[in-house]
Amino acid sequence: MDYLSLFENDFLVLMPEIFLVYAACFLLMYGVLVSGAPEHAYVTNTGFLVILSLGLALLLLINGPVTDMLLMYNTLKVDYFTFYVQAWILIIGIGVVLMSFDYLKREKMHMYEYMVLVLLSCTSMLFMVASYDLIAMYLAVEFQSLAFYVIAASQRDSEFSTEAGLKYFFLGAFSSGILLFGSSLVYGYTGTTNLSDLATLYTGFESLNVASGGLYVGLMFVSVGFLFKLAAAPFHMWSPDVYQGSPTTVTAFFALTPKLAVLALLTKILYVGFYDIMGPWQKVVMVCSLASMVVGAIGALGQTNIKRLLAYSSIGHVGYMLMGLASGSVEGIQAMFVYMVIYVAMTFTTFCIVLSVRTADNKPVEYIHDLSHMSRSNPILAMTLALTMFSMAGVPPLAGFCSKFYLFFTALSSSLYPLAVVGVLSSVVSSFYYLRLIKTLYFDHTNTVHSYVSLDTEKAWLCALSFGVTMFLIMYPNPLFLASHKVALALCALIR
Amino acid sequence: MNSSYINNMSLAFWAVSPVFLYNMVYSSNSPFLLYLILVPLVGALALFLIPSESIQLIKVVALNVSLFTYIASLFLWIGFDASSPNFQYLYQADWMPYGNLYFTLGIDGISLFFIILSTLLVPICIMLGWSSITIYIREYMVALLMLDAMMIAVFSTLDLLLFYVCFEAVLIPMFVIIGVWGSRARRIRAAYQFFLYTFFGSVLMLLAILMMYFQAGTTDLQILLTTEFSTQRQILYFLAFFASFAAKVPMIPVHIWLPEAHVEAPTAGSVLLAGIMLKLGTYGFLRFSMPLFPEATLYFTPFIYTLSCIAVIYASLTTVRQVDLKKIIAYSSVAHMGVVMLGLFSLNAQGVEGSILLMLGHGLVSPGLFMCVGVLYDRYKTRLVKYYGGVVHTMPLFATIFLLFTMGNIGLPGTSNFVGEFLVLTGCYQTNTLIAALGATGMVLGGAYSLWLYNRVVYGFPKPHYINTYADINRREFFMFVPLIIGTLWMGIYPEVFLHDMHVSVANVIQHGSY
Amino acid sequence: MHKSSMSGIHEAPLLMSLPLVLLAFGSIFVGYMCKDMFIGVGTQFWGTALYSLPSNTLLVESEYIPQDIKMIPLALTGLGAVLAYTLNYSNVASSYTFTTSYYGRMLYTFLNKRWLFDKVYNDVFGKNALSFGYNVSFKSVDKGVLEMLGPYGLVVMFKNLSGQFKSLQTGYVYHYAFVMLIGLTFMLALVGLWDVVSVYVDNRLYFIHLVTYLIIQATAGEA
Repeated sequence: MDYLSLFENDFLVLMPEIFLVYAACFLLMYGVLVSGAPEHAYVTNTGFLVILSLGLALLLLINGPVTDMLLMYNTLKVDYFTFYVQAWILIIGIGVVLMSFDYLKREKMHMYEYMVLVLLSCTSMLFMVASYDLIAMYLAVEFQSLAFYVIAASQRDSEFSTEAGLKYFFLGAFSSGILLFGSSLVYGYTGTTNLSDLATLYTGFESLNVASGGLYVGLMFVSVGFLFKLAAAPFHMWSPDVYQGSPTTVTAFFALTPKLAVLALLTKILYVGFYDIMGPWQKVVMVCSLASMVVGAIGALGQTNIKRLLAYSSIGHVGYMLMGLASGSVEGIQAMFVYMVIYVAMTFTTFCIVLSVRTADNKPVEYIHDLSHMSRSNPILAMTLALTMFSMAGVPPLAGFCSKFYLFFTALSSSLYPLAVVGVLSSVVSSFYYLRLIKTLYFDHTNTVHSYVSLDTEKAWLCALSFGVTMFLIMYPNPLFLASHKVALALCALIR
Repeated sequence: MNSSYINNMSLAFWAVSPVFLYNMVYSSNSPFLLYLILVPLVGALALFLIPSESIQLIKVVALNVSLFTYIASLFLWIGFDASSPNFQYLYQADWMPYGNLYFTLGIDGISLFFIILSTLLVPICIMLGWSSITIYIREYMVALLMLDAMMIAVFSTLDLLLFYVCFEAVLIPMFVIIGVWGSRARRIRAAYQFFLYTFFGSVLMLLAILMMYFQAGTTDLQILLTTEFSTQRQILYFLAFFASFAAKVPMIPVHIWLPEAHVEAPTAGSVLLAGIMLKLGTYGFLRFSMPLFPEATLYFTPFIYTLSCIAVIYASLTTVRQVDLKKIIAYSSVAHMGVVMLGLFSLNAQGVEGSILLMLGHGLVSPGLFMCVGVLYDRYKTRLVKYYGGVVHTMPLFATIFLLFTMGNIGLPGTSNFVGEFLVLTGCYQTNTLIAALGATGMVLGGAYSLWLYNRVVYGFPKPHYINTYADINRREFFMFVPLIIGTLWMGIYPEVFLHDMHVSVANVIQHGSY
Repeated sequence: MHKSSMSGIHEAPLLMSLPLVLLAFGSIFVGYMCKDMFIGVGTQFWGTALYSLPSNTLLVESEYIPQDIKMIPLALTGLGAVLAYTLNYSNVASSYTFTTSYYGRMLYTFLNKRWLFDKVYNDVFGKNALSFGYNVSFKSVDKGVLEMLGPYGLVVMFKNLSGQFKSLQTGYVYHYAFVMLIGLTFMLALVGLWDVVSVYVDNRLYFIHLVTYLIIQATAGEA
C-alpha cells in the first residue's frame, strides 16, 4: 500500500508552510553565496526575495484547495479562522521587510540573516495558528521564540540589542518551561493533548464537581505561558527592555505579529479546548486584561524613550484585546479581531514615522523630544503621527474608536462591567501620554534640528496605506466587522 | 496668483452658487444635510492641494467655503416646515448595517438654529485669524473647516453613537487650536484640561450608549425615544450622560477648564468655545437626556436646579473680581449657562424655549465680547483690565460696539439675552419660585460685573503710559461684528421669528419629558 | 464755575423753547385729554399687553371709586405746591430758623443720607460679596479644592504612580522572573481560592476601592 497517499491531501493544504520552509533554506544558501558581494546590495536583494516568497505563500494560501480540514493526524487544523490570521501574518511580514530596507542600510546592519529570520518567524507563526494539539502548539511556539531571540539580538555591535536578546531568551525560556509544564499537567490528568478530545472530555465538566485542581493548575500554566508571550501584565516586565534594545524594525515586528499569532492561538486553545471550564481561565484573562490596561496607561506616563513608550502602549492594547477574549462570546472574538487589525494599521503608521525621522547627527530618534520641531520639518508626517496618536487614544472619528467601542460593547453585553469601566478610564489616562506626543510635535518650539529625510518609497506606501485605514475606516467599517465575524464564527463552530 | 484673479474667481463662484443651493433644497429627497457636512470637508481637503506659498489663496478659499456653508444653511431654514413635529431633511445611509447602525441625519426646530449659529461663527473665526494668525495658516483654516463640518454633524445627527463620534471629534481640532495658536505657555495646560475633562466625561456616556445599544439593539434616536427603560437604568444612564454634558456646559464642580481654555485660546478658539461648544452640553441635555430618560429627569431636577443656582450666583460673584478681560467673560458664560440649565429643567414651554433663545443669544453676545477683547489684545497685547481706561476717547466706534454687547450680556431689554432670560425665569417661576428668585439674582449681578468692566475699560482717563498707539477698529473687524449685532438686536426685538420654528419641536420634547 | 461760562448764560432762544413749550403742554394735559382712551371703561388700547385674569375685576372696580377719593391725588398735589411755595419763597426766614434749630437739625440728619442705607448695603452685602468672589469662590474653591481634586491633584497622583512603576522596572532578569512567578502564584491563588476571594471582588466594592485609592494617592502627593 502506498502510505504516502494517506497524507496526500495534507501536503496540498500545507503547501504555503512547506513552500516557506523550503524558501528559507534556499535563501540561506543564496545569502551565503552572495554575501561576498560589495556593500549592502545583497541584503536588499535577499529582502526582496523574502517579500516574493511571502507573497507567493499568500497566493498559495488564498488559492488553497481546501477551506476546512483536520490534517497531520489531527495535530493541525485549517479553516477560515486560520486562513484569516495567516493571511494577516504574511501581510505584516511583507510590511516589516519593506520597512527594514532603509533602516538596515542606514544602521549599517549588513546581514541577510535578518531577512531570512523574518521569513522563518512568519513560517513558525503560520504553524502556530494552525496547530490543534498541545504538542504541535508547543513546537510551533518554540520555533517562533528561537527565531525571535536571534532577531532581537541581531544588531551585533549594539550592547542594547544583545542585552535585549539575552533577556528575551532567559525569560522566554522560563515561560516556555511554564507552558510545557502546563501542557504536561493537562496531559497527565486527561491523557490527551488534542484540543477536540479535550473539549469532548470537558463537556459539562464544571457541573460535575470533580476534584480537578491539577487540571486547573495545568490550564493556568498554559495560559500564563501565552500571556507572557503577549506581554500582558503582570508578565510584561521583559517587553519595555526588549522593545527598547532591539533594532527599531525588530521592535515593530515584535509589536505586530506575535500579538496577532499568539492571541489567535490562545483564543483557539481556550475557546476550543477549554471552553467548558471557562470559569478559571476567564478570571485569569480578566485580571491580566485589567492589569495590562492599567499598567499600559500608567507605565507610559513617565517614559521619555519612544520605543519604551510604544512598548507600554502595546501592553495597554493587549489589555484591551484580552477584554474581548475574557467576554467569552462570539462578539468578543469578533471585537478582538477588529481591534487587532486596527492596531496593526496604527502600529505600522507609527513605526514607519519613527523610523523615517532622524536627529541632526543622523541617528535614529530615541527620545520623544527628538520629535519636536517635526511639524516644521516634516509637516505631513507630523500630522499623520498626530492623528494616529489620537486614534490610539480612541478619539473618534478615527479607527481606534471603531475598535474600542465594539470591544466595550461586548464587555458590557457579557456583564464584564469592571473591565469596561476600567477600560474607558485607562483610555482617558492613556490619552494623556498620546497627547504629550502631539504636544511635542506641535506645541513645543524648541531648537532641536532634524536632518530632513524624505520617506523611501516602501515606507511611504506602507504609511499611506495603514494611515488610510486609520483615517477612513469609520466611513464604512462594515466589511471589517463582517470578516471578523466570520472568523469568530469559524472558531466558535469548533465548540461543541 | 494675484489678488484680483482670486477675487474674480470668488465672484464667479458666488454668482452660480444660489442655483445649486436652490436645486439642492427643492429637488426631492436630496440629502441636503449630507451636502452641508461635505462642503466644508471637501473645502478642507482642497486646501491641502493649494501650494503653501499662496497664503492669500488659502485664506480666500477657506473664507468662501465657510461663507457658502453659511448661506447654504440659511436655505435649510427657508425650506423648513415649522408646523411639522417630525424630523426634517431626513437622510439615512448604511454605516454598519451589520450592527444595525445607520448614518442618520435630520433636524427639527431646535437643531436648525444651532446649525445656523455654528456656520455663522466659522467664517467670522476665519476672518479673525486673517492677520493675527501667522504660523501654520493652512492648518488653522483646515481645523476651522473641520470644526464646521463636525458641528453641523453633531447638531443634525439622529443616531446616538454618531452623535458621540461627532461630539468627541470636535475635540481634535479644538485641542489643536488652543494648543498651537494660543497665546501663552500656559495654553498647553489649558488644552490638556479642555481635552481631558471632556474626554473623561464622555467615555462614561459612551458606556451608557453601549448599554442602551445592547438593550434596544439600535442607537437610532427615533427608535430609542419609543423605548422604555426601567427607572433604575434611566438614573444610571442619566448620570453617565450628565458626566459628559455637565463637563461641557459646564456645571459648577467641573467648570474650571473653561476659564483656562477661554483665556489661553486664540480669539477664534474662544469664540467657538463660547459660541458652540458650551451649547453642545445643553443641547445634549435637551435632545437626549430629557426625552430619553423622562423619569430620571424628574428625579434629578432638584439636583440640577441646585447646581445651576450655585453656578449662577457663584460664577457671577467670581466674575466680579476677575482682572483678566477674557476670564471675566468666561466666568460670566458659566453663569449664563446656569440660567440656561434652569430654563431647560423647568420642563415647560416658556422655560425651554427661553433657554434655547438664551443659548442662541449667548452664542452671539459672548463671541462678540470675546472679539472685542481680541480687538484690544491685537492692538495692545494685554488682557489685564488695569492697563485699560478711557478707550472711548481713542476708539469711539469700538466703544459703541462693546457697549452693545455689554448690554446684551446684562440682558437689557431689546437684546436677545433679555428675551431668553425673561422666558427662562417665567418658566422657572411656574415650577419653583425660590429657584426663579435665585436665578434672577444672576441678572442683577450680571449688571454689576458687566457695567463695572465696561466702566473700567472704556471710561475714565486714558492711560498713555500703557496704551499709546491708537487705532479704532478697521473695516474687516467691523464687518465681523455686524452679523452678531444684527442677530442680537433681531432676537431681542422680534424673537417670534425664531420661536415660531421652535414651538412644535419644543412641545414635542416636553411631551416626551413629562407624563 | 468759571467766569467765562457765567458770562454766556442766557434764556433759551425761541427755536429751543417752542418744543419745550409743546412738550410741557403735553406733559401736563395729555393724561386729562386722553384718559378715556387709556383707562376708559372697556378700552381696547392695551390689548393683551396689560393682561389680567378675568377673575380680577380691578380695572372695572376702579371706575366706581367715590369721587372724594379720586380727588385725593389732586388735593395732595396742590398741598405740596403750597407747602413748597411757603417754605421756599414766602417764608424763607422762618424755615431757615427751623432748619437751624435743634429739632430741625435732628430731622435733617435723620432724613439726609437716606438713612445710610447705602452704607449698610455696602458693608453688609457689597463688601462680603466681593470678598466671597475672590477669597472663597476663586481662591479657595476654583484654584484650591477643585484644582487639587481635578487637574493638579491627578497629575501629581499619576506622576507618583508612574514613578513607582518605573522603580519596579529594575532591568534585572531575576527581578522580572520573580514578578512573573508572583503573577503566576496570584493567578493560581485567585482560581484556587475563588470561594474565599469572590466576596472581596463584589462589583459594588470596586467603586469604594477606587475612591479610597484616589484619596490616599492625592494626599500622598501633597505630603
